Amino acid sequence: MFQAIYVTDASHALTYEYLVFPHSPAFADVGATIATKIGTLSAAANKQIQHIPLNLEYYLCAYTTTSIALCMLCLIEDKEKPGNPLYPGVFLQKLVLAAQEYFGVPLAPTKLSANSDTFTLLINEMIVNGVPNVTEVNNLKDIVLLKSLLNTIIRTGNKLATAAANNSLSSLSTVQGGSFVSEKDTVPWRRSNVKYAVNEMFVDVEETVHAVLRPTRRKNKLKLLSSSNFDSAFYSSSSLPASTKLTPITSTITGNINFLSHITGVPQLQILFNSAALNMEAILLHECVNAGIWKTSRALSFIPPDKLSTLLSYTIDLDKSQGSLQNSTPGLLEFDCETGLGASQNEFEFRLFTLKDQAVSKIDSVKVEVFSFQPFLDEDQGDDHSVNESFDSQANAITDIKVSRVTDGDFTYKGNGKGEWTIKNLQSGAHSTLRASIRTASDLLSDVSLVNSNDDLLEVQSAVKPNRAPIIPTHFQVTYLYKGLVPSGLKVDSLKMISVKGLGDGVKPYKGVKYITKTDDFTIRTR
Amino acid sequence: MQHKTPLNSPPTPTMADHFARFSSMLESARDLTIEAAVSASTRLTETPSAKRPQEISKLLNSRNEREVLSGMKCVISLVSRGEDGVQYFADVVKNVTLLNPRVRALVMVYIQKYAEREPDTALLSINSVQKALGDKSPRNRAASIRTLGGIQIPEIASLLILCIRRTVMDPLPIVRAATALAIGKAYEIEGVNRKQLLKDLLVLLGDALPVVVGPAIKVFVQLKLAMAKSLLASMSMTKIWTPIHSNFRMYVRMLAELDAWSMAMMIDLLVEYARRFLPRPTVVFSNGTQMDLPGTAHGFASLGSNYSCTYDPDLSLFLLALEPMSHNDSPQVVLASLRALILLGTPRHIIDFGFPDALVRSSLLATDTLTRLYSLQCISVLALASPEIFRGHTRKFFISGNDSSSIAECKIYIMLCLFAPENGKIIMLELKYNAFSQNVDIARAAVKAIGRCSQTSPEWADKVLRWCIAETTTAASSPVMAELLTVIRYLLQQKQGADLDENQLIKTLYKLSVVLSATDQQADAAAKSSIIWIIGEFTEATKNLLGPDVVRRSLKTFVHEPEKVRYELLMLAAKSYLYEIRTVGAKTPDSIVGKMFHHIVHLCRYDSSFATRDRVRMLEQLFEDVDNHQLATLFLQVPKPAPVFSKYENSATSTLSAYLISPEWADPDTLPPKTIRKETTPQAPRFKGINSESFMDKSGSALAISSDNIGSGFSAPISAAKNQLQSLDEFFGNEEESEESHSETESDEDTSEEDEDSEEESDEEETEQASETEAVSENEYLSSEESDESDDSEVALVQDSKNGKASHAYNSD
Repeated sequence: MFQAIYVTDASHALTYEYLVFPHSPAFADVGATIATKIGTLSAAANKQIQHIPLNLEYYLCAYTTTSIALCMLCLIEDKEKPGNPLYPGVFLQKLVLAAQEYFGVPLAPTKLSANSDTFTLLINEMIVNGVPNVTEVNNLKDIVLLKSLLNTIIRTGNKLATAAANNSLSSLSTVQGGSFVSEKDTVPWRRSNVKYAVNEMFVDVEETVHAVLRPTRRKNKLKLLSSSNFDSAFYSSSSLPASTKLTPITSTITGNINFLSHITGVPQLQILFNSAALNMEAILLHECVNAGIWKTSRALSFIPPDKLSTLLSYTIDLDKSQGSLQNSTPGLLEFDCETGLGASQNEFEFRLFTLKDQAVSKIDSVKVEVFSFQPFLDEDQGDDHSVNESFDSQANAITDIKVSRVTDGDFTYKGNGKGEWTIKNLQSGAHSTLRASIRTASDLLSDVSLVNSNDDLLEVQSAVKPNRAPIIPTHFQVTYLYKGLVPSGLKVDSLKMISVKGLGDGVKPYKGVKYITKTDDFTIRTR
Repeated sequence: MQHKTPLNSPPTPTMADHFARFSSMLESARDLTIEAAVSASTRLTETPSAKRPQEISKLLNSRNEREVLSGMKCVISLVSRGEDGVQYFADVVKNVTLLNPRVRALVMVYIQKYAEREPDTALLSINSVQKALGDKSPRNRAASIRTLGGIQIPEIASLLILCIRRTVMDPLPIVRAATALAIGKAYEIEGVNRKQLLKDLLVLLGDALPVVVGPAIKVFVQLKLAMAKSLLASMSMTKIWTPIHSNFRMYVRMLAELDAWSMAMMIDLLVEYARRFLPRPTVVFSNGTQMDLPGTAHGFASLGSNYSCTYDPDLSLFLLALEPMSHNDSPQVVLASLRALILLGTPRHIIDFGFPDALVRSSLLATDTLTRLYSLQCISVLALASPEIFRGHTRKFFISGNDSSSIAECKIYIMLCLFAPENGKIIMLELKYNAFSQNVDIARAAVKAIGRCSQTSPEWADKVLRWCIAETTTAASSPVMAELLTVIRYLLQQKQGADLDENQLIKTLYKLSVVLSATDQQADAAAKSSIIWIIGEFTEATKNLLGPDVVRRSLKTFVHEPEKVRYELLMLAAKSYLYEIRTVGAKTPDSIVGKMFHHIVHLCRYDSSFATRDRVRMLEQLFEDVDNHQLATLFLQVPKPAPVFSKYENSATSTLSAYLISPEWADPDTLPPKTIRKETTPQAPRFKGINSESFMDKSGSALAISSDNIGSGFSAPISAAKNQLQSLDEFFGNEEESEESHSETESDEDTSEEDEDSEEESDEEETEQASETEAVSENEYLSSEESDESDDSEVALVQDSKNGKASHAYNSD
């Protein structure tokens, strides 16, 4: 059961607390422990929700960013019969969402402490008796109003605008009076009395590619065939066709249909898709979507929640699909990578091809992170060479990744054997190359030893050099984003308004559709 | 786009457009004000603390509502910084009469927090809070009853009971829902009439609207725990469950309409109910044998693939209601449903309802890692018992570069569970890749997993052994060396028991010894000592071919070796020497092996390590005398057990596996008759808050989601708004009749108690009649609280089931 909510700032000092029960422990009692526990969280915990055991009685569920930490104190219930372990995490996520909706993104301690009254009322609705109560933002907005002078003006402004749009300024007074009349027929997920001056709705089809690519050897014949099929400029221009090809060992597309609704009244809408909708699996439907219609005709029929919502999520498992799809990289980008190049075999070349498509003029952002092997890196040792490490491990530690050729964007070395290549606004149909060498401490040493031929160093050099394996990057992590096309080929055929209660007849809401492709876990292995 | 207004447009749209532009401008300005809201309130809290109380009281006592509001903001802001706000209690309480909803809401939050500490002053506010119960706005009524419940003062307990009885009958669902929450809070007040509270809760539990049943269920679950704690051990838990019996079928129908939290709690509650009161399903295999449904995750393993299952109709209704849950977007609901299917269903249910896909997707897609981890753990629990469920998804568990150690370890475990001849190759490839991950935890887990995979068949064992040896020679400095050697040792020991080819063994060990000498700059102490140990251990099997050579080569650098290595070298020398003594037969101190042994003994005698010196003394004694050689053999050549690959466990799995446990199936003899679940109220015309049917029908489409699962017996609502009051009346009216008849037969035994109770009740009888009759009928259930000490509770239980039968006969007439 939830006992208390604490919000702390970057220095782990209290900025806000809410005690669910009068006898719940105050931050003064547990703050010191919480501060130390949160302080030890690694940077990877950023924006993640974590369970942190506190003592025998309580545990903490915490959402942390660099500037703020939202912690929820939970009582450890009966060890024999614990409740659903997901409750605290999911609840905290909802709380963060609600707070972001009310106070804006990103959350900051000052925002919360300045609006502590609103936040208190929010939590008071969200937790009752230590159990989650109302947690959906749309419902909360009916109960807890974000009260400010400006808000009132906005609301009356909207009202006036709708009234004006409906050619009925005289009806204004009646609209204002009956705020509770519509109580009975509200749709639970929709805020009551929604009014907008500008009626518009947007569908975002957003697909995320998850893939792990691995080089597979391909025979000479195959290579020729594929390059002749692929009649594009980049293959002929690339210096040497790779002897290996990157093929996905696993790839999945997950998609969301997000819907942004700014529509007055209670609209009934329908979205139709093209045939790609048949490939969808593991469907999650928003509660507003009629499941029966979806099952029979793969169309979305719904009354949208106000503002942003995710109507549908799905996955497309590319591992199951047969033939060519399985062996090609999903999305518009293709990659190629060669390692062990150069005289000392520590160079690699990473090539990136974008296929031409009319719908996509450019790739908005591409980021390739290079991770290279660091055999002796322990977490507590870091990248500086501690004294007790043997000489050899020092020699293998990676000190730099040096670029010898980069056609687009910038490459920076981030430390810890990690480099980052970023390209903004890459033209589609283009191809870019990165060639770099990984430098280790021994490389530096050998440079030095060339200058002043110290006997000791020479000895070491001869001992190390011959049997050293080529240093290659372990993997690349790719992120990119482009608009205009999704890899599954899904398209919204139509978005129809079937009926709208409370919207004037002549009003035609603006409709917009957007297609976004991005990556979540896109790993390219080098072996 | 829409901002562009054509010049010659009619005047009205232009006006609308102006307004629109104006308000969208303001909308963007709002964000700024959120931070600027610092204004009055924060400035005040930052004034010197000595002056602050007067300032705040001045604001709170102001006649201007806006000043009161900023005063309240100050108080709340102080409280939320961990300061004590009790000193403003008197000033705050006064403002409860204000009409400003925000002030009122803040005051009510404040009163709930501090009423206990200022009971006398709090009493002043009760009247005005109570007055709000008659308010026109349902929100105010709801807020008022919730506040009353939260005021934890024993003095108002009896008043509170009256208020609750009033709001339980409220025509609007949100007030009834708030009443349920108030009951949950009021239950903790000392000296409150808990029996009456339970009666009221009972009414709410039978409500026809999901909006009301949701909170009522949450409260019931909490009170159930409290009751279970307060009851004496002799009391049976069965009685607590009374209100669920007649509502079971309604709940099953209603499941899809509840909000996510109530849904998850309801599923858990119904699972426990099913375990206690529904007959255990029977599994019939295709060959005709029968068994009880296992109802645990690991029990799935015993089911195989050819079986059919017979269910109690109520249970199968419940299981069917879980089908749409795999499409639910709340992870807690998916987890609760999955648990229900594990505990009450079969793997086939899980597959047919689409849960494997749902789990895999949330393991990939969930925004927070915690949910991903729990999904993976669910998968691992299921995969262990019946891997075939997830075999088609094998590739989904490949490790990507972003995975944290805990997620990667879980994935590796799942791959291990799925390991089978058909996908063995790709899994092994993946594990081998990860064995050299940058993340040491992942690498270790992967090597361990490879070791476990090798157990599946001798063919794999050979492959793995070859791979391990190859890797030890090339990657001597790898942090996973120790794990690799454990796998090698395990495989060798396994083979030793079965079909060890001597040549192969010697070759293997020779390669290991090469690692030792070739990489003596690199291999760490643990790895080295491990290799030396392995060589020593197989002295017998290799006819001491390698031991002396290793010792000889190490002698040169002996003094520079780390402590562990010196110790193992000593043991190796001893083992070699012992083998020679035993084969040659005599004590041969002049042989090379003997000389080396004595040399090492000599060195070790002055070793810095206590353990080594100690061991040397013992060995010296053992080798001193020929008679002791037998003892030395026992001591040095005792067969060692092969290492055990530990099963994957971590703290998160243990909470999950604890959650996946439920009470045992009830003894079939004590089960109540099925008729206990017969719905006591004929289906009241269900008023649906959503009224989804009407709009869905208008659009000419099929039924709404909600109605998909309701099944038959559900009359289409006509006009919801009109029906509502009526339906409630009808609802209670019907209950009155049937309940009365029910109770007549049921409670012969308890009549005396009942009389007492109804006398008590008659004092308070000024409220609705409906709840009164309800009270009588439910007497048996409630009497459990009273008759704690009575010995006849068990008799009552038996009676319970008998009466149930009787009442059934009566009812079915």
